[in-house]
Amino acid sequence: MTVELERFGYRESTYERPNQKWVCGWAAMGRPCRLGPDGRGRCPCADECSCTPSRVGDRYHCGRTAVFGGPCDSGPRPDGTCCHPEPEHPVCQPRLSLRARRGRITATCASLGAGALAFLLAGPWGGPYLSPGPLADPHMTAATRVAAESQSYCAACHESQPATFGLFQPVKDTACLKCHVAEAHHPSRSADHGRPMQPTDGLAISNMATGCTQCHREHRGGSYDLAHVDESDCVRCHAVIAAHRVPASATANDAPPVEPPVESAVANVTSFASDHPEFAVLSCGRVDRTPLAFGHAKHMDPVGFPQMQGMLTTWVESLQKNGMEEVPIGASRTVDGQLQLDCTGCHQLDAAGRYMQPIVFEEHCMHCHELPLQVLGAGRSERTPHGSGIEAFIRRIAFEQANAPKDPKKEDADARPPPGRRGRPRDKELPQQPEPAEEVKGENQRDALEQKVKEVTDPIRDACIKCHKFGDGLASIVDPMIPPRWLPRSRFSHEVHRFIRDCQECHAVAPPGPAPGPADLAWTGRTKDIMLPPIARCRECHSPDPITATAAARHDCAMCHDYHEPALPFAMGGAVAPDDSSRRAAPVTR
Amino acid sequence: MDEPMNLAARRWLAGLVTAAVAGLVTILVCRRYPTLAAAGYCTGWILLGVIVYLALYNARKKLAYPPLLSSAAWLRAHVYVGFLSLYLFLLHVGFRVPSGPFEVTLAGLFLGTAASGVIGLFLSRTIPPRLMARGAEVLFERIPALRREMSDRAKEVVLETAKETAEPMLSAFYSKHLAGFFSGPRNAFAHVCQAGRDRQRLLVALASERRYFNDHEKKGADELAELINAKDLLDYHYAMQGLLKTWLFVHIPLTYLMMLFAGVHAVVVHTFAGDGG
Repeated sequence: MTVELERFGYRESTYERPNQKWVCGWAAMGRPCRLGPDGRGRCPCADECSCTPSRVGDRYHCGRTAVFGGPCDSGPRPDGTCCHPEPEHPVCQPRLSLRARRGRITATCASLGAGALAFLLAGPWGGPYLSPGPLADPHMTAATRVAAESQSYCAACHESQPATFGLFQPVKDTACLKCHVAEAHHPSRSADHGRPMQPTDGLAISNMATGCTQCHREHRGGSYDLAHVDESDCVRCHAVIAAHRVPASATANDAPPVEPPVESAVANVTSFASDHPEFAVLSCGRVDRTPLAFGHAKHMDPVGFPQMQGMLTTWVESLQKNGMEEVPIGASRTVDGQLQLDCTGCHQLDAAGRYMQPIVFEEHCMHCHELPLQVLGAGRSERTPHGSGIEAFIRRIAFEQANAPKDPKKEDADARPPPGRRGRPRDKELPQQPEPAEEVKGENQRDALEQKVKEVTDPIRDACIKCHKFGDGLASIVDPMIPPRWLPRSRFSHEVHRFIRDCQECHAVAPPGPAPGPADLAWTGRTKDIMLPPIARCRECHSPDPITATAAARHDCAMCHDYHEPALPFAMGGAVAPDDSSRRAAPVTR
Repeated sequence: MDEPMNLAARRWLAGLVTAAVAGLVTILVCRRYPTLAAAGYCTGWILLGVIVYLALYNARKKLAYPPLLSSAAWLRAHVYVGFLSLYLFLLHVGFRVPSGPFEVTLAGLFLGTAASGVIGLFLSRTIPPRLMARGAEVLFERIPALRREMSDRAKEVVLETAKETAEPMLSAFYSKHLAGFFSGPRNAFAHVCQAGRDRQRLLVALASERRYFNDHEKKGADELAELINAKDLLDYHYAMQGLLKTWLFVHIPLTYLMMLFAGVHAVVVHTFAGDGG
C-alpha cells in the first residue's frame, strides 16, 4: 500500500465535527470548503473574500484570514477594493449531517406514529385496536355485535363514567352479574361479590381474587374457555393460604386492612403434581367407620370362599332358567371354570358417567342374601323388607300372626271327646275357664304379642346381623353411613378413566409407603379399609412429564375442584378419624 | 496502582451481574406475585423504567460536560441493561405471544428495537477488527474528499501518458473500465460480504492490457493499479463504516416509537384492566 489514505496535520486536514448539524454542500463532491456552514445552515462562502484591505502607508494589504487561505497573491486594487469579487467556492446548499438526519427521521417516525395512533384511537377502530385480543365466542353475542357496530364496542362491559372524564373503566362484577349468576367461593364473601378478603400480607387488593376478571380473563380469543381457570390463579392464594384468611371474628366489612396471618387447617398448595396433600379420606389414619360388615376379598375371591362360589352358581342357574345368558354381566368365569364376581356386578355408573350409583340391596345383594320369608297363615307369606321400615314390618307380622284365625281342624280336634267315647263331649268335660277381667285380658294379649314379636324378630336379626349392626331398639339397625361421594370437595369422572380396564388398579388397599404400584394392591377383607387410590396413583398420569415437561394429563386445580358451586359438606362424604364419631348419617336412598 | 481488569473478565463480571439482577427481579416478583399475570403491573413498570434508562444513553452522548461517567461506560451498561430488558419483556408478556393488535404492535416495536440493538452490537464488535485487518484508518467524513483526490489523480495520470503517446491505450482503458470506478463509491454490498472480485477484475484487465502499453503508459498503469487498490480500500471503509452508522437509523427511531406506544399501553392498561370488583 503506497497510497496514504489519511493525512493528519494542522495544515493538511481539517478538524471534522460530525456532531454538528450542517455539513458543506460540496462535501459529497469531495471539495468541502474549509469553513463549512454556520449553525443555521447558511453557507458563508459568500463572505469568503469580503476582506477589508488594510492601508499601511500608501499601500493596501489583503486582509484575508488564514481560514480562507491567508492574504492572496494579487492583493487589493489600488483603490483598496478586493481583487476577488467572486468567492473561490461557489455558494453551496449545506446539507444535514448524518446525526441530524437521524434525528429528523426519528422525529418524523415519532410524529407519524403519534398521528397514526391518534387517528386509530379517535376513529371507530379504536376499540378493536386497543383490544388485547378477540372476545370469547360466548360473549360475542348479538348484543355485543350491535354494540360493536354502533362504535360502543367496549362499553358493553367497560363502563365509562363522568368521574373518570369519560374514560372506560375496568370491568366490574356488576357487569358480569347482569347475565351470570354465580355463588361466592369463600363463605366470607358476600353473595354480591363483595370484598371481605383483605390483603393480610400486604398484597394489593388487585392481587386478590375479589372480582370475576381476576380469574376469568377475557380477550384471549374466540375459542378460549372462560370457565377454565389457570392453576396459577388458585395458587395465588393457596400457596400461602394462611396469609389470605380473615379471622373468624372479622366480618366482611370490618376486617382491618392488615391482619396477622391466621392459622389454617388447609395446607399450602402450589401444584397437584408436587405438594398437593394426600386426599383427606386417606390421610391422618382415617378409616371407614361404617357399621356395615363387608369385605371385598370375600366377594371377589372365588377360591378362598367356597360358599361364595355356591351362591354364585345358584344365581347364575336361576338366571339361566329365566332365559338369561350363561354368565351374566357382572360375573365371569376364571380359567379353571369358576365363577368370579366382577366389580360391575354391584357398582354401576350413574347417567353422567361420573360416579358409581349407590348399592341397592334389592338389586345387588338379594340374589344371594335373601331375607327370611314370613308365614302369615292361610297360605300367605311375605318377604322381610330391607330398609328403615323393618321394625314396623316386624310388629305388623307379629300382630297378624297373633290374631290370625285358628285352624278349624285344630279346633275340632280340641273339641273332640276323649278316646273311647263317642258323641259330643259333655259340658262338664269341657275345660271350664273363668272369664278373665278386662285388664288381665289386655296384659295377656300384650305379653302374647311381645312374645310373638320376639319370635318374629329373632330369625330376622340372625339374617341382618351378618351385615348390619343393631342398636338399642327392637330392630333398630344403625345407619351404614355410606357416603354418596368419598371426595366431596372435588369431582371425578369414571367415564374418562374407562381406559383403565381393571378397577383394582386403583381401588384396592395400598400398603403403607410412597407411590405403591398396581402389583402392590390387593383386595381387603376389612371393612375399615378405604379402597381409594392414593394421590400418588393419580400423579402417575396427572403430572408433567419429567423429560418433556409437558403434561401427560391435566393437573390443574379446576380439573377437580369447583370454585363457585358449593361443595358437599364433609359430613356427606369421606372417612372419619378414629376418634371422630360426629359424622352424621348420610341421607342416602338405598 | 491496580491493573485494569482485562476485557474477558470484565465481560464475565458484567454478564454475571446482569444475570443476578434478572434472577433477583424474578425472585422478588415471584415471591410477591405467584403468577406472571398478577405481576404484569410490576414487571411492566420496571420494564418501562429500564427502557427510559436505555433511551437516556442518547441524551448522555449529547451532554459532554456533566460528569456522568464516560460514554464508553454508559455504552457498556447500555448493552447489558438492554439484554436485561429483553428478559424483563419476556417476563412481562408471560412468555407468550400477545394477541391484541396494539399489544402485537408494541411487542413488535420492542423486539425490533432489541433486534436492531443486537445487530448493532454485533456490527460494532466485528467491523472494527475487519477494518484494522485491512491496514488503514480513515475518517468516514473525509472519504468523499479522498475519493475526489484519487479520481483527480487518476485523471492526471491518464492525461500525462496521453500527451506522450500517439495511440493512448491507457486513456481508452480508463474510459472503458476506470472512469465509473473512480467517480463514486462502488461495490458496497460486495465489501460487506467481504468480496473483492471487482478489484481483482480491474487489476486483471489492466494487467492483460499491459503488453500493449508503451513505457510511459506502463508507468502510468502501475500508478493506476495502486490507485485502484487504494480506491477499493476506501470503498471498503465507506461501506463498513456506513453500516456502523446506518443501523442507528433503525434502532433510535424504533426506540422512541416504542416508548410512545409503551406510554399509551400503560395508560390503557390502568384504564381498562385491573380488578373491577
